[in-house]
Amino acid sequence: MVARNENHRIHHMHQGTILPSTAYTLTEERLQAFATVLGDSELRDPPTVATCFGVWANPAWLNALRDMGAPLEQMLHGEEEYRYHQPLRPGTIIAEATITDVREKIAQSGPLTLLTLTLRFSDGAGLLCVEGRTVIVVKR
Amino acid sequence: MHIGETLTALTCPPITRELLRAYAEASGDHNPLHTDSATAQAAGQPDVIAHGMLVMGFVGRMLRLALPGAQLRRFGVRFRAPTYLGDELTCGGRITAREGDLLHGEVWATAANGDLKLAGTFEASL
Repeated sequence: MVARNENHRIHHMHQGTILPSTAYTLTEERLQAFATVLGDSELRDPPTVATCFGVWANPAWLNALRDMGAPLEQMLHGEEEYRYHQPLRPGTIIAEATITDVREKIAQSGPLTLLTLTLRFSDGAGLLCVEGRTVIVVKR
Repeated sequence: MHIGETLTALTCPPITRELLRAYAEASGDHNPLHTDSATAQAAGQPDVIAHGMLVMGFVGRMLRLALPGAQLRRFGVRFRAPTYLGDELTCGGRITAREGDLLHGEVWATAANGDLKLAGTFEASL
Protein backbone atom coordinates (compact mmCIF):
# COMPACT_ATOMS: atom_id res chain seq x y z
CA MET A 1 0.00 0.00 0.00
CA VAL A 2 1.33 3.42 -0.90
CA ALA A 3 0.11 6.18 1.36
CA ARG A 4 1.54 9.61 0.67
CA ASN A 5 0.88 12.90 2.33
CA GLU A 6 1.31 16.25 0.57
CA ASN A 7 5.03 16.46 1.20
CA HIS A 8 5.61 12.76 0.66
CA ARG A 9 6.96 12.51 4.15
CA ILE A 10 6.20 9.87 6.72
CA HIS A 11 3.49 11.29 8.86
CA HIS A 12 1.50 10.75 12.05
CA MET A 13 -1.23 9.08 9.96
CA HIS A 14 1.16 6.15 9.41
CA GLN A 15 1.08 5.36 13.12
CA GLY A 16 -0.54 1.96 13.60
CA THR A 17 0.57 0.66 10.20
CA ILE A 18 1.44 -3.04 10.31
CA LEU A 19 4.31 -4.04 8.04
CA PRO A 20 4.08 -7.39 6.21
CA SER A 21 5.06 -10.21 8.57
CA THR A 22 8.06 -12.12 7.28
CA ALA A 23 9.19 -15.73 7.76
CA TYR A 24 12.90 -16.56 7.91
CA THR A 25 14.89 -19.71 8.41
CA LEU A 26 17.57 -19.29 11.05
CA THR A 27 20.34 -21.80 10.46
CA GLU A 28 23.11 -22.98 12.79
CA GLU A 29 25.59 -21.56 10.23
CA ARG A 30 23.93 -18.15 10.35
CA LEU A 31 24.08 -18.06 14.14
CA GLN A 32 27.73 -19.11 14.00
CA ALA A 33 28.57 -16.46 11.37
CA PHE A 34 26.83 -13.77 13.41
CA ALA A 35 28.74 -14.72 16.58
CA THR A 36 32.02 -14.90 14.67
CA VAL A 37 31.69 -11.42 13.17
CA LEU A 38 31.24 -10.07 16.72
CA GLY A 39 34.66 -11.57 17.45
CA ASP A 40 33.62 -14.68 19.36
CA SER A 41 32.67 -17.87 17.54
CA GLU A 42 31.91 -19.38 20.98
CA LEU A 43 29.29 -16.73 21.75
CA ARG A 44 26.04 -18.57 22.49
CA ASP A 45 22.69 -16.92 21.73
CA PRO A 46 24.09 -13.48 20.74
CA PRO A 47 21.82 -10.87 22.40
CA THR A 48 21.47 -8.88 19.16
CA VAL A 49 20.84 -11.74 16.70
CA ALA A 50 17.21 -10.60 16.24
CA THR A 51 18.63 -7.77 14.12
CA CYS A 52 19.06 -10.36 11.34
CA PHE A 53 15.23 -10.32 11.15
CA GLY A 54 14.75 -6.63 11.88
CA VAL A 55 14.11 -3.64 9.66
CA TRP A 56 17.67 -3.21 8.37
CA ALA A 57 17.66 -6.74 6.95
CA ASN A 58 14.08 -6.67 5.60
CA PRO A 59 13.81 -5.21 2.07
CA ALA A 60 9.98 -5.46 2.11
CA TRP A 61 9.81 -3.34 5.27
CA LEU A 62 12.36 -0.85 3.94
CA ASN A 63 10.37 -0.57 0.70
CA ALA A 64 7.13 -0.01 2.63
CA LEU A 65 8.78 2.76 4.65
CA ARG A 66 10.19 4.31 1.45
CA ASP A 67 6.67 4.35 -0.03
CA MET A 68 5.49 6.18 3.09
CA GLY A 69 8.15 8.84 2.61
CA ALA A 70 10.99 7.47 4.74
CA PRO A 71 13.78 6.39 2.35
CA LEU A 72 16.81 4.47 3.63
CA GLU A 73 19.19 7.26 2.49
CA GLN A 74 17.59 9.62 5.04
CA MET A 75 17.59 7.17 7.95
CA LEU A 76 19.86 6.74 10.94
CA HIS A 77 19.45 4.23 13.73
CA GLY A 78 18.48 6.07 16.91
CA GLU A 79 17.67 3.38 19.47
CA GLU A 80 17.25 -0.38 19.77
CA GLU A 81 15.76 -2.42 22.59
CA TYR A 82 15.08 -6.12 23.13
CA ARG A 83 13.06 -8.01 25.72
CA TYR A 84 14.02 -11.66 25.89
CA HIS A 85 11.55 -14.47 26.51
CA GLN A 86 13.09 -17.49 24.75
CA PRO A 87 16.34 -17.86 22.82
CA LEU A 88 16.09 -17.58 19.03
CA ARG A 89 17.05 -21.10 17.96
CA PRO A 90 17.68 -22.53 14.50
CA GLY A 91 14.40 -23.04 12.65
CA THR A 92 11.59 -20.78 11.47
CA ILE A 93 11.50 -17.21 12.78
CA ILE A 94 8.43 -15.04 12.17
CA ALA A 95 9.15 -11.31 12.32
CA GLU A 96 6.31 -8.81 12.81
CA ALA A 97 6.53 -5.02 12.94
CA THR A 98 4.07 -2.23 13.65
CA ILE A 99 4.75 1.51 13.36
CA THR A 100 3.79 2.55 16.87
CA ASP A 101 4.99 6.15 16.94
CA VAL A 102 5.76 8.90 14.43
CA ARG A 103 6.83 12.24 15.84
CA GLU A 104 8.48 15.30 14.43
CA LYS A 105 11.33 17.05 16.15
CA ILE A 106 13.56 20.02 15.43
CA ALA A 107 17.17 19.09 16.28
CA GLN A 108 20.31 21.21 16.00
CA SER A 109 21.01 19.44 12.70
CA GLY A 110 17.53 20.33 11.36
CA PRO A 111 14.04 18.84 11.26
CA LEU A 112 13.74 15.12 11.97
CA THR A 113 11.02 12.52 12.18
CA LEU A 114 11.40 9.85 14.86
CA LEU A 115 9.80 6.61 13.78
CA THR A 116 9.26 3.80 16.29
CA LEU A 117 8.80 0.21 15.14
CA THR A 118 7.55 -2.32 17.67
CA LEU A 119 8.76 -5.80 16.78
CA ARG A 120 7.87 -9.38 17.67
CA PHE A 121 10.04 -12.37 16.83
CA SER A 122 8.36 -15.76 17.25
CA ASP A 123 9.36 -19.32 16.45
CA GLY A 124 7.60 -21.63 13.99
CA ALA A 125 5.17 -22.80 16.70
CA GLY A 126 4.11 -19.20 17.38
CA LEU A 127 5.99 -18.92 20.69
CA LEU A 128 7.08 -15.31 21.30
CA CYS A 129 10.88 -15.32 21.72
CA VAL A 130 12.00 -11.69 21.58
CA GLU A 131 10.17 -8.36 21.57
CA GLY A 132 11.96 -5.39 20.08
CA ARG A 133 11.74 -1.68 19.57
CA THR A 134 13.62 0.22 16.89
CA VAL A 135 13.72 4.01 16.75
CA ILE A 136 14.67 5.34 13.32
CA VAL A 137 15.75 8.95 12.86
CA VAL A 138 14.56 10.22 9.46
CA LYS A 139 16.20 13.43 8.22
CA ARG A 140 13.79 15.77 6.46
CA MET B 1 27.32 -8.51 42.07
CA HIS B 2 26.75 -5.37 44.12
CA ILE B 3 25.40 -1.93 43.23
CA GLY B 4 28.12 0.20 41.68
CA GLU B 5 30.21 -2.78 40.60
CA THR B 6 31.72 -2.31 37.15
CA LEU B 7 31.51 -5.04 34.53
CA THR B 8 34.73 -6.33 32.99
CA ALA B 9 35.36 -4.07 29.99
CA LEU B 10 35.75 -5.48 26.50
CA THR B 11 38.20 -3.99 24.02
CA CYS B 12 36.92 -4.48 20.47
CA PRO B 13 38.89 -4.92 17.27
CA PRO B 14 39.35 -1.71 15.25
CA ILE B 15 36.58 -0.87 12.78
CA THR B 16 37.77 -1.77 9.27
CA ARG B 17 36.06 -1.91 5.88
CA GLU B 18 36.50 -5.70 5.96
CA LEU B 19 34.71 -5.93 9.32
CA LEU B 20 31.81 -3.78 8.05
CA ARG B 21 31.49 -5.91 4.90
CA ALA B 22 31.52 -9.07 7.02
CA TYR B 23 28.93 -7.61 9.41
CA ALA B 24 26.68 -6.61 6.49
CA GLU B 25 26.85 -10.17 5.21
CA ALA B 26 26.24 -11.81 8.61
CA SER B 27 23.43 -9.49 9.69
CA GLY B 28 21.70 -8.94 6.34
CA ASP B 29 21.99 -5.15 6.74
CA HIS B 30 23.26 -4.13 3.30
CA ASN B 31 22.79 -0.38 3.69
CA PRO B 32 25.64 1.05 1.54
CA LEU B 33 26.19 3.76 4.19
CA HIS B 34 28.33 1.10 5.88
CA THR B 35 30.21 -0.27 2.87
CA ASP B 36 30.36 2.39 0.14
CA SER B 37 32.41 5.55 0.67
CA ALA B 38 30.50 7.62 -1.93
CA THR B 39 27.14 6.82 -0.32
CA ALA B 40 28.49 7.73 3.13
CA GLN B 41 29.96 11.00 1.84
CA ALA B 42 26.67 11.89 0.13
CA ALA B 43 25.06 11.43 3.56
CA GLY B 44 27.52 13.92 5.05
CA GLN B 45 29.91 11.44 6.68
CA PRO B 46 33.69 11.53 6.14
CA ASP B 47 33.61 7.88 5.04
CA VAL B 48 31.64 4.71 5.79
CA ILE B 49 30.34 4.43 9.37
CA ALA B 50 29.81 1.28 11.41
CA HIS B 51 26.39 -0.34 11.73
CA GLY B 52 24.94 0.76 15.06
CA MET B 53 23.97 -2.87 15.61
CA LEU B 54 27.62 -3.92 15.32
CA VAL B 55 28.40 -1.63 18.26
CA MET B 56 25.37 -2.97 20.19
CA GLY B 57 26.55 -6.48 19.28
CA PHE B 58 29.95 -5.82 20.86
CA VAL B 59 28.22 -4.50 24.00
CA GLY B 60 26.01 -7.61 24.06
CA ARG B 61 29.12 -9.77 23.89
CA MET B 62 30.62 -7.79 26.80
CA LEU B 63 27.45 -8.48 28.82
CA ARG B 64 27.63 -12.21 28.08
CA LEU B 65 31.30 -12.36 29.11
CA ALA B 66 30.90 -10.16 32.19
CA LEU B 67 27.76 -11.93 33.48
CA PRO B 68 28.34 -15.61 32.71
CA GLY B 69 25.32 -17.69 33.60
CA ALA B 70 23.05 -14.67 34.03
CA GLN B 71 19.98 -14.47 31.83
CA LEU B 72 19.52 -11.25 29.95
CA ARG B 73 15.91 -10.02 30.26
CA ARG B 74 16.11 -6.61 28.61
CA PHE B 75 18.81 -4.74 26.71
CA GLY B 76 18.21 -1.30 25.23
CA VAL B 77 20.58 1.29 23.79
CA ARG B 78 20.67 4.72 22.25
CA PHE B 79 23.21 5.41 19.50
CA ARG B 80 24.91 8.64 20.48
CA ALA B 81 27.42 9.27 17.68
CA PRO B 82 28.63 7.60 14.47
CA THR B 83 31.45 5.07 14.79
CA TYR B 84 34.18 5.62 12.20
CA LEU B 85 36.81 3.55 10.43
CA GLY B 86 39.78 3.02 12.75
CA ASP B 87 37.76 3.50 15.94
CA GLU B 88 38.79 1.06 18.66
CA LEU B 89 35.80 0.74 20.94
CA THR B 90 35.77 -0.19 24.58
CA CYS B 91 32.51 -1.57 25.96
CA GLY B 92 31.81 -1.18 29.64
CA GLY B 93 29.01 -1.34 32.15
CA ARG B 94 27.99 -1.02 35.76
CA ILE B 95 25.38 -2.47 38.08
CA THR B 96 22.95 0.26 39.15
CA ALA B 97 20.31 -1.63 41.14
CA ARG B 98 19.45 -5.08 42.39
CA GLU B 99 16.04 -6.52 43.29
CA GLY B 100 16.56 -10.05 44.53
CA ASP B 101 18.03 -11.99 41.62
CA LEU B 102 17.31 -9.23 39.10
CA LEU B 103 20.21 -6.92 38.24
CA HIS B 104 19.74 -3.53 36.59
CA GLY B 105 22.69 -1.93 34.92
CA GLU B 106 23.97 0.59 32.44
CA VAL B 107 26.29 0.01 29.50
CA TRP B 108 28.32 2.15 27.15
CA ALA B 109 30.75 2.03 24.25
CA THR B 110 33.44 4.66 23.82
CA ALA B 111 36.17 5.30 21.28
CA ALA B 112 39.83 5.59 22.33
CA ASN B 113 39.51 9.41 22.34
CA GLY B 114 36.69 9.13 24.88
CA ASP B 115 33.81 9.87 22.48
CA LEU B 116 30.62 8.16 23.65
CA LYS B 117 29.12 6.10 20.81
CA LEU B 118 26.39 4.18 22.62
CA ALA B 119 24.70 4.34 26.02
CA GLY B 120 22.10 1.95 27.32
CA THR B 121 20.62 -0.12 30.09
CA PHE B 122 19.94 -3.79 30.76
CA GLU B 123 18.22 -6.15 33.16
CA ALA B 124 19.57 -9.63 33.84
CA SER B 125 18.49 -12.33 36.24
CA LEU B 126 21.02 -14.42 38.15
